[in-house]
Amino acid sequence: MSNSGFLASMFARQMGDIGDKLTNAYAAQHADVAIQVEVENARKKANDLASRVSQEMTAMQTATTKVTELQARLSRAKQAGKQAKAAVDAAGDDAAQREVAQGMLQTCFKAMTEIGGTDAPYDGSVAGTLFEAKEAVKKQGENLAFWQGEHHKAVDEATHMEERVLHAAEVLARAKQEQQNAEEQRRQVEADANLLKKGGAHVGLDAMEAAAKDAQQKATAARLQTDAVRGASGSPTNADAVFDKLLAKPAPDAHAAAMDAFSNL
Amino acid sequence: MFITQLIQGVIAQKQAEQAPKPARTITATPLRLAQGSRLNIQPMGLLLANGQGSIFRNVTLDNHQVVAVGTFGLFNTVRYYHVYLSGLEGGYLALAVNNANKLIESRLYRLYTEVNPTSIEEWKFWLVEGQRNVSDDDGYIGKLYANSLDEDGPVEYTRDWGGNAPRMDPLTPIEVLVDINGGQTRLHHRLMQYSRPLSGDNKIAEHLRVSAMAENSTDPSGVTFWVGIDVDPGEIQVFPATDAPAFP
Repeated sequence: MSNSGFLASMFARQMGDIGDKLTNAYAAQHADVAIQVEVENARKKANDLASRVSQEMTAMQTATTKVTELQARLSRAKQAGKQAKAAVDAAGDDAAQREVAQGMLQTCFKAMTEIGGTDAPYDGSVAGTLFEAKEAVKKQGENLAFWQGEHHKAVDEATHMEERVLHAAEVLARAKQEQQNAEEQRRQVEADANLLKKGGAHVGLDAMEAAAKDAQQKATAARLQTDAVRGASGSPTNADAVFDKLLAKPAPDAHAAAMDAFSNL
Repeated sequence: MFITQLIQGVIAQKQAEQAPKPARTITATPLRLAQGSRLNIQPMGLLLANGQGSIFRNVTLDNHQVVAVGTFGLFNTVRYYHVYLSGLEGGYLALAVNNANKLIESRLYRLYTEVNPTSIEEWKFWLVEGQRNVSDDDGYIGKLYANSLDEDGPVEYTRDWGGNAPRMDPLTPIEVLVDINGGQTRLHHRLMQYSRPLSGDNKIAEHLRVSAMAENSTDPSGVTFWVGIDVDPGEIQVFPATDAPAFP
C-alpha cells in the first residue's frame, strides 16, 4: 500500500482541532460518549502506526541483510575467480583441464559483474545487484523515517487529547457546579420573594397606622363632647378652655388643673 | 459396425488421457529442490576450498537432476534434507533448517570411501554399542577425531558435537528417502560428523561424515564416508520441477 493510500484510509475522518471539538456544543451535549470515542480513535491510530513502523523496521532488516549477503557473495566470487585464473594458468597444455578451469573462471566473472557491476572495481558502488540493494536500503530508511514521524505525531496527539479531555472534564465539572450554585441561589431568591408576598414585612407599619387612627378617633370624640358642652351654654366655657388645652400639647401638670377645673363645676 | 468400434476406441482413448494421473510422492524441500528439479552449482565454494588445500575435488557441478530426497531430524531442533543428485554418485546436497524453517546449513558432500566390515571384530573397530571386550581403539564412529585416507595425507577432523569428550555415541536418525519414482527407503544411520578449518579465519571449512548404514534394517551393512564443503545457497541455480511445492 502506498504512503498516500495508507494515509487516506487512516484519515478518512476529518481531522480538526480535537480540543475545540471537545468543548463545542456537540461535546457539551454528549460529552461522555464523544470523549470516549475520540480518545479511543486517537489511541487506535497511534497503535496502527506503531504496527506500520514495526513492519517497516522488519523490511529494513531484510534489506540490510540482503546487502550483507551480496557483499559476502561478491567477495567469494572475486576470491574464487583468482583461484580459477590460477587453475587456468596451471592447466597448461591440458585442454580438458583448461576447459574446466575456464568454465569456472567465466562463472566467477559472471557472478562478480552481476553483483558488483560490469566495470572495475566491481564493488557495487555504481551498478550491479549490490548497488540496487544499497539503494533499496536507503529508500527503506526514508520510508521508516516517514512512518516513525507519523507515529510520533499520533502519539503526541493522543497524549494531548487526553490532557484536553481531562481539562475539558474539569471545565465541565466547574460549569455544572456553577450552574448548581446558580440554581440554588435562584431557589433561595424565590423563597425569599415568597416570604415578602405573605406580608411578613409590613407588620410594624400596620400597627403604627392603627395606633394613629385610634388616637385620631379619641381626639374627635373629645371635640364633639366639647362642642356639645359649648352648644348648651352658647359660649365658651371653662370646659372649652380646658378642652383646648387638652387638645393642645398638654403640659405635664395640665391634667391636675383640668381635674381641678371640673371638680369645681 | 467398424466405424462404431473405431469411434468407441477413440472415445475410450480420450477418456484415458483425460483421466487424472495419480500424484507422485514428492518432498517439499528447501530451495524447491524436490524430486525432479534441476540445478547447477556455481564453483565458488569448490574453488575457495581447493585453494585452501581441500580434498574435496573431482565433482561435477552442472546439469544435475534431483533423483531422491531423504529427510531426518536431529536434536529436536534441526531437520536435514539430503538432496541426491544425478551427477554425483553417492553424494548429496545437505540442507539443514531450524524449527523456524530457516536454512542454517548448506553443504555439498561427495562419496569419499566405503568400508564393509565382515566380522564382529572388524565391526568393533567402528561401533562399540552392544559389543563386549571393547578396547580404546574401538568405536571409531563417535571418537573425538577422525582422519582422511592415507592417500590424502594425515588430515585430521574434529567432531562437531559432544564437546571434548573422548567419545560419544553415534547419532541414530532414520533417513526416509523418496526417489523420483516415489519409491521409499528407510536408511538407518549410526552417524557422526566432523570438520576442519581450511582458512585462518574459519570462514572456509571442510567436513567429514561417517555413518554405519542399513537399508530398511537395523543391522548396518557397511560404513560410508563423505567429505563435504559449504555452498552458498545463492550459488545454487535451481530449475524447480513443475510440481515442486514451495517450502514453507
